[in-house]
Amino acid sequence: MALVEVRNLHKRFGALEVLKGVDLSVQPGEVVVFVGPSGCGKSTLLRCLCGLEVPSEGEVVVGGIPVRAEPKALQALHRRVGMVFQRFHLFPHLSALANVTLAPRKVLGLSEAEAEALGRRMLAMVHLETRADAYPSQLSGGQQQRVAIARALAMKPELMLFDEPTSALDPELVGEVLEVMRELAREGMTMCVVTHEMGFAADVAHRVVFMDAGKVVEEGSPQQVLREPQHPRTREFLARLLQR
Amino acid sequence: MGGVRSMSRRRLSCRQPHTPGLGLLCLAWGLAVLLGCGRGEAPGSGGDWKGRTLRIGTDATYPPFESVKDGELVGFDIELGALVAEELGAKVSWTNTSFDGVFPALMAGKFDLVISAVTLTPERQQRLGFSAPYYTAGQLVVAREADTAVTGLESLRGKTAGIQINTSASLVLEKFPDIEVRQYPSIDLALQDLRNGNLAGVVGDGPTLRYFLTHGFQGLRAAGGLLTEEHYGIAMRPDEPALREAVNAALQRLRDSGKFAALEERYFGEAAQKAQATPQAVPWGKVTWRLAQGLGLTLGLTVLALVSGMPLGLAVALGRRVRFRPLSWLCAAYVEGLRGTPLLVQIIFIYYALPQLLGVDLAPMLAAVLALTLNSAAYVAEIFRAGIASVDAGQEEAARALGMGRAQVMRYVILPQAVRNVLPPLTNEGIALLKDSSLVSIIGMAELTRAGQELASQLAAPLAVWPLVALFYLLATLPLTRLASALEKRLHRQG
Repeated sequence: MALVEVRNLHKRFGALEVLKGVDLSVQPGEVVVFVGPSGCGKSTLLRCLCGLEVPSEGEVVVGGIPVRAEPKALQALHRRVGMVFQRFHLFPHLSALANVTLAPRKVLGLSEAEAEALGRRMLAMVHLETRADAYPSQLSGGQQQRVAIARALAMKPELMLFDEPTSALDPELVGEVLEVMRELAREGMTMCVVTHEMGFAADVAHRVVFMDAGKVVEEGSPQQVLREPQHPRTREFLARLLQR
Repeated sequence: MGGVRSMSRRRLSCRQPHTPGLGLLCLAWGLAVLLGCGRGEAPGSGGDWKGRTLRIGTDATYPPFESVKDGELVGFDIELGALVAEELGAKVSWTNTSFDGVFPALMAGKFDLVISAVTLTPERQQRLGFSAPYYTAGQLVVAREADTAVTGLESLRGKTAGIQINTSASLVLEKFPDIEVRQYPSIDLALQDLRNGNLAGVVGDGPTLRYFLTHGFQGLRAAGGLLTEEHYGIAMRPDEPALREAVNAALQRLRDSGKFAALEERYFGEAAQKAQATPQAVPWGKVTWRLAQGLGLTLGLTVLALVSGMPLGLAVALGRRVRFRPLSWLCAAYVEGLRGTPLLVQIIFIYYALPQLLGVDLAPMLAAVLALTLNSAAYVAEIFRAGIASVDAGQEEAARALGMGRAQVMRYVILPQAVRNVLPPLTNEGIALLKDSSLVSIIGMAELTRAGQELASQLAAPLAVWPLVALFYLLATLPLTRLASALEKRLHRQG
């Protein structure tokens, strides 16, 4: 059974319709990369998958939980889906370790000691075990994003969402974040990634979804979509990306 | 650091020790009428006072009629009050409060009489009950000794004269449009400006001006005799004819027995004038001790109001965010109501009107803390609201995406950051509150400003007392700003 099931998803903000009927399903263990021009709705789709937005129309079911405007159901969903933001959103008043352990302690009810052991394991996974006591302002962008990944992983999510995780980073810091994501994919994590890193998409993704103007235009293996795109809009987008 | 602007505020500051306070009197009246509560059975109504306690209000900043000396009320009016009580067979208890507050307190039944050099004017006689006049005073012109050109009111034409705000001196000067009038909050400040050479003369109450001439204002003289005839009366609520008759009868008996004449002789006779003529040195030790006591009360009030106002303000700020509409509206109304009305009016309302609504009597200290707390909480609520709004929206999303509930997000993620952002405006609020606490002198709290007022008039030494008062305020606020900036630095090191 699919982990993510999206049927005829519409999302409107006032008069603006951002998603205009999206269908999608993601299998457990699958890595799906979303590409498309900015404003095409891929970030909004991701936010619908983790319950930060609820559908205006259609249906989104993640791990058997329908995404609806019910605080209790949404909170249950949040616990099972990890989200990594473009701008990290680390808690600036907490150390790296405390950033990672806050939700396990308060939401899962772990003891101090359990949470700390978990937190240090998670920081080790992103190769930051030595920076546990540093505050976000003392870390580089790449390190901050890795802490943010560790923070999401600490909740033992079944699905990890990445919303342009390297777009706010200096070019030389992109690699360390992508490396962590690669490792995660190798371990079998189900991942949905919005990114412009075509190399990452080609290497890691099981499937690439091209979106434009609130709709899925084309999807398939990286080979199919990136090397032999069928749709003219996909070709146009990829051509522009290569020119840069 | 988030961009929380410190909120500027302006509160009505009304410090006019001897103004008639008619505006406030009307206000208290209005409240009483509005609430539909006559005082009903005020404990002092009726004519028979044997064995009971006669409660008298006064503003003891007006020597030689009433002032504070070594912590005790002294003066002509104070002794007169004691004599009247003695005639009635009653015990006496005094309340020393600012002149602004003395009539509202009388109307609210906080005391039975006001003996405070109250001049009989048609306005006051319409609203208050008065005894027969007990003292005849009048307006007097004071000039510098060296300035022989000033011989009376006529000689002030084309020049500048100083008066105390809203006193009957303005009625006298109305007839002389070519005399420029400058108004001062208290008469000793006008005299100081005269001595500094900024005025040609000062016009005011004869007895008090004469007292000041011999107590600290050397180099000034009376220019001419009394200009008008004014009468002082004992004020009471207008609906107490029995009390009025009893007081008048007591005054008559005092006159008949010669006790009244003896009292007058002691204060205003030849011997008294001569005895007073020796200049006094400022007793620095006593002044400092009195001001320190005032500062203690100021600090106590401020700390109590802050300690209770901060959590209340935070609760109101959070209350405005809840989804349950009636509660968020209530919290918004609270903030608007308390922020949009002057603190002075709130103090008066809580002390004079609230007890009548609830049927309980609030001690002045309790009323003062309550008023300052409620007022401060409104400002604190707005500070916290701005602080919460200044936290990046991404913080809440990140926390929610981790499965935290609304309350957890607020408590562990938003508030810690908001508090750090609002430390500077919260410090401002603390300092503002410290200084605004001077307004509670209107209900008789002898805090720092009030202590300064009493000392300045008693010693006739405003130049010695007020800088010291300012220094005391500074001493109180400096540690506060130090503490806040240290705290800010410590928190900043983390972020």
